[in-house]
Amino acid sequence: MIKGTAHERGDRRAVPAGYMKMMASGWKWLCSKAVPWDLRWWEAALMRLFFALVIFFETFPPLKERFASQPRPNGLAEWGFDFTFFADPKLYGTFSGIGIAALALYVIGFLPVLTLPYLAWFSIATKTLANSQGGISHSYQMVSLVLLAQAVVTVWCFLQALPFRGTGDTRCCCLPGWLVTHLRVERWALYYSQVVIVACYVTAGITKLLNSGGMWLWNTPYLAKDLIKTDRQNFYSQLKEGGGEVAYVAALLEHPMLARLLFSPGLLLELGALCALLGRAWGCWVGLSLIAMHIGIDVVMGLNFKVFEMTVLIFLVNVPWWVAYAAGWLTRKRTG
Amino acid sequence: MLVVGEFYPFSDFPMYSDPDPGTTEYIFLGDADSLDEEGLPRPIAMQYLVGVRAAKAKKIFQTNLRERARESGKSFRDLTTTEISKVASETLAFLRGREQHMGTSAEMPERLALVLGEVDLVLGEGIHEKKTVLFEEKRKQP
Repeated sequence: MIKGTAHERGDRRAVPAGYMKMMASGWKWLCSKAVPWDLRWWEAALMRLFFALVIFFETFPPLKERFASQPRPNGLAEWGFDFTFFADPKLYGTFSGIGIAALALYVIGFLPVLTLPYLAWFSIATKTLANSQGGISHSYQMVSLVLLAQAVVTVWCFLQALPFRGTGDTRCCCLPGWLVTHLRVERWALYYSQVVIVACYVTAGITKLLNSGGMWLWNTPYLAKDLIKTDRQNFYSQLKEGGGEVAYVAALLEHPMLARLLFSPGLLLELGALCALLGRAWGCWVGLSLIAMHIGIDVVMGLNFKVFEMTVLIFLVNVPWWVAYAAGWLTRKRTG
Repeated sequence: MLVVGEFYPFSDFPMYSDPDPGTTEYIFLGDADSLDEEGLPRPIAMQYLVGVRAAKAKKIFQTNLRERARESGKSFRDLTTTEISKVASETLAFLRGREQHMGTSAEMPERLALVLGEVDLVLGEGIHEKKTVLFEEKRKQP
């Protein structure tokens, strides 16, 4: 009666040593090629502003669910941490009020050693509670991971006073690192934010190969039934759109080779997302391709990954820098 | 993340990683006392009433099934109808309990039903969809 997929049944495959070896050598190669961007102060400020808006509007709204228990602990809850106090609207209001203040300070680059760890903790703690109900959602991992990466880099640099060489920037150096955000630290914070973003996609790609025994692409026509399932799940959640005929299902079944051709760029993109670390141009193209992939998934499968798209847009595509670059190029062309 | 697996904020992102022939399932909540034209409990807007989307409810149900299979030393597929029904009743009780936190008790049906939808795909044949009631709440004694 209930069959479920291998993942749903909990039939996890061990990660083969070959994959680990391949990833390790890929990582080594990448480390030799990838360098942090030569970030400008205004780019960093805009990234902080845009990311703060994403955090505020997408992850701060009060937990309507008010989960008062952790029946299936996940993450830190597995280690005994109890986050059910977020079910109390007053306490949640207090913590989110502190979070809003921390976001404001984060945007202006003040007290990063305190604000980033708090924001990372708040993001992880609230979503851990929501994910400890038995069902794991995959909507917010990227935001929490970016905040965690930025917090670790900031605190690490503060504690270790790492000797940064060759960045040539002296802005704010008259003030201590715990008080204001130093651009040199931000470059590393951005770099590791990009690393975790890319890691999310590469992991998703490798998981597809592992869970399907390498047959994911060949089996993509079977995703037709998942289109129906997703449509029904969306419909029965709100009783609004869906519940009837599902677009693309017939096409997938009638033209299985076309389905494989259509899905192959997505898998290759996930596996090749590492290239986004090779510089601004690579970051922009890979980022735009990933956003296009998400839009395609949204149209075909009705699965929305808005938070992922916005995070990619901010940290990989980085529109403000390209606007400034184009404006500079046009000015140079006009003035000869 | 591959090695750590599902440990928030880490994940191996297993969604749709295993497209295979056969059946996939979804579940939803219905009003056991109001049947639709198919004779099934009329669905309720569970996201608004119990604060849990159908996709999450299915994950909760699947996690409970896995836990039951682990406890009884069986594989997920070997669970009996009685065992599945027991897990369904626990999942339904959890979802019913959500009305207090959501403040929606007045809008909730007197008796809830947990319905399973199965989507079966055979290449060359097409798709078949069927729905069955997994568990219904008992009628309250007057």
